[in-house]
Amino acid sequence: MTDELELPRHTRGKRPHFFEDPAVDQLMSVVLAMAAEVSVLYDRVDAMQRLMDEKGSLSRAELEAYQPDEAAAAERQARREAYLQRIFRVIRREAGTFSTEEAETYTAEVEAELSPGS
Amino acid sequence: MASAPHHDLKLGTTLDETARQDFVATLRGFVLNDLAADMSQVYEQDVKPRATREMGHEPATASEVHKAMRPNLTFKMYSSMRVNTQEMVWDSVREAVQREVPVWRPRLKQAGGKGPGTLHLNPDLEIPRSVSAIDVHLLPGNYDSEHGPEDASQGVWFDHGSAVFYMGLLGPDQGDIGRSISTFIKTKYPDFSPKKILDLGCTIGQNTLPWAQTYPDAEVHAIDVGAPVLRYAHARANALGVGVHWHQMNASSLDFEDESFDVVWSSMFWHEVPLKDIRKAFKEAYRVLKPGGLMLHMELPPNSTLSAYDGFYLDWDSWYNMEPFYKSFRDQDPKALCVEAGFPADGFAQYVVPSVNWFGEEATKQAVDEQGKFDQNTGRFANGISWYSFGAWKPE
Repeated sequence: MTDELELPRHTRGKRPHFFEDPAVDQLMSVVLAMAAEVSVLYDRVDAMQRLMDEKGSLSRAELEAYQPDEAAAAERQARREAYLQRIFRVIRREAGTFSTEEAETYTAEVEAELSPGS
Repeated sequence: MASAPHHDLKLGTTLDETARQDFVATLRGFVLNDLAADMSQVYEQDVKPRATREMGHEPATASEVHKAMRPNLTFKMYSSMRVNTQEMVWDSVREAVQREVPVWRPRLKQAGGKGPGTLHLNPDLEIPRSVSAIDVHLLPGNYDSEHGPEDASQGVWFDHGSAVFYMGLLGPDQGDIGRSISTFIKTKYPDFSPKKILDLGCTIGQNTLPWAQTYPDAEVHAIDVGAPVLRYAHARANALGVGVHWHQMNASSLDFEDESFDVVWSSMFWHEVPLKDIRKAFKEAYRVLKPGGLMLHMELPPNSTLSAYDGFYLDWDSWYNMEPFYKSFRDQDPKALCVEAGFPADGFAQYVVPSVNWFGEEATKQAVDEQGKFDQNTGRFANGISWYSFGAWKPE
């Protein structure tokens, strides 16, 4: 039996899309994949820093084998969570303190106040 | 964080793969907790008032809420991110499954050969189109694709992906559903001691094993139509030292004798099954149950027990997560399904069981006096989950 295995990369059937232009759906996928890779890089840098702190130097093998202890894992998890809040800040805007309708009314009032001749 | 499977068949992962899986698990937490909360808030403050004005009444069903939500930006972003996250779950372990073939294949073979369980495959079984034609949960290849002779790859992939998917919610062995509910039943009915237990649609057996552990004297059988997941379930159970008899069989047409089981159990199964097959399978469950036996299914709560919004929230998977039968199942009355299958109406039972992994075993045991307390955390994969189950007792 061969040890070569090629698992399918895509699902069968139509992929759901949510935006008027399907390109936006594809771009969302790319953005999320990039976000994942930045997080991967950050974890790698974090592993390097922690090993350097501990040992003063490190080999590639030590780095690849690095496993965070419980405290380090918790710090890294908190960092990941804060990272998501930062990069997806704008997505959470609509659910802010004001309701959208309230905010629209308020904005209209402010604009009326500021417009010349009011 | 992602939690790795907790047994000898666990795959090795690289530094970057672990980081990728941890990211995806964290992203799921962000989408299912933070963005889900945002979406509910946006519905209340914005979408619902608008829809009520336009329709002349408040959205009354899950479908009406869905229709009102579709143009909304928060809904679009939530949905897009959820679909992507689901795809990324599987993608984050795909390469490890491929790379580690030389490691896992011999281990699997060894664990499969040693017992205590047994494996009974049926190559002539017709795989229903609800499995063979689609990729449920967006897992490419689903439960049944084989990529070589005696292949278990899809089982390996499903186990390792599920560990990322559940974000550790189900405990290290992903058995929280089976553990919580079997613990609950044993506490609530101390005189009920099943000798034979059957699990329907078991996939890799995460929620089969806890029944064998809760009732160590019982003989436990489990069925699924997918050979790759059964091969893996068998090896996994052996690796964990739990003896279960695995059969490739369709729940709508069981090969077991009449009145041969004390418990017929399933978890997270019916919402992937077409309604006509569910009806046949419930009749089959009635047939194979001994008098005094219990049919019990852990499932997502029915739409009738939830608000229109919470129904919409759960139905999302039916529309966008390749689970086409999810909504038609959840629109049913669970009691009516049991009665149609032959159970008496007064034999019907339903339980909302706090998760052992989330609340601790004591909380689960203390819940035995409450019945059917539904809230927005019932059956919802987020913090503070409790499990819904329903079924019926066959008369003595």
